[in-house]
Amino acid sequence: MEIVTVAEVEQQHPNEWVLLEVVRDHKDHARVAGHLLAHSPDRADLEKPYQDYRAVHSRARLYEFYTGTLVAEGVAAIV
Amino acid sequence: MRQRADRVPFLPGRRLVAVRVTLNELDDAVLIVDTGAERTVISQHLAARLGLDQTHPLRLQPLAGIGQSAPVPVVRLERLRVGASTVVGVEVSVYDLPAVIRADGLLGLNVLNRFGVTLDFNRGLLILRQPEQAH
Repeated sequence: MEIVTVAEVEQQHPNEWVLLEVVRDHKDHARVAGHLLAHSPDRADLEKPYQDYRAVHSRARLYEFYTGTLVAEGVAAIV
Repeated sequence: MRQRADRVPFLPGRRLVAVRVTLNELDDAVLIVDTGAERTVISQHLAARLGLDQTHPLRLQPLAGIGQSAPVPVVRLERLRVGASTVVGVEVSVYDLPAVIRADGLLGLNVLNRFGVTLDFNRGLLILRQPEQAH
C-alpha cells in the first residue's frame, strides 16, 4: 500500500473526512505519513473501514481527521 | 532547573487552535486547545473506539459553558500524547461537540497545566515546557 503524507491527502481530498494508518509520525500534522484507508465527505462512511481494519490490525495507529476548516462556514465557534 | 520545550504545530488553516493528539497509543485525533476548559473532552465516538467504559465511569458530571449539559461520563485515559509530551492517567469528559465543529474534543487545563504553555500565534505553535531535573 502506498504511503502518503497528510499534506498530500489534504490536497487530493479537500473538505473530506480521512482515515489514515499512521506509519511515519511527525509533530507537524502535514508531515505525518501513512496508508490512506478511506475518505469521504460523510464521516459515517469511515466507520466500517475503521472497524474492519482495527479487527485485523489491533495495534495500528489510526488517525481520522477532516481536511478542511474545523468550523462550518457561517458559524462562529466559542468553545 | 532546565526546561525542555516541545513545539507542537497547530493544524494550519483551521480557524481554531487545534493539534493532533494520540490517545492510548492507538487513535490519533484532533483536539481544540481550550484554556477555558477545566478538563479535556473527547467525543463519544472516540471514547467508544478506545473501549472506554462509559457505563461505569469514574463519575457523572455536567459540563458548563454558555449552556450546561446533563451529567456526562468522566473516564480515565491511560495516556495522551501531544507532540513529544505524554501525560498518563488523564481524566476526560465524554461529550460530543456540535457537529459543525469537526474535531473530536478539547484539550483542556487538566493536560495543559502540567506544562509551561505558550501559544505562539505568529509561528503557529503550541509550546509545552516541562521542568527537568538539572544534572
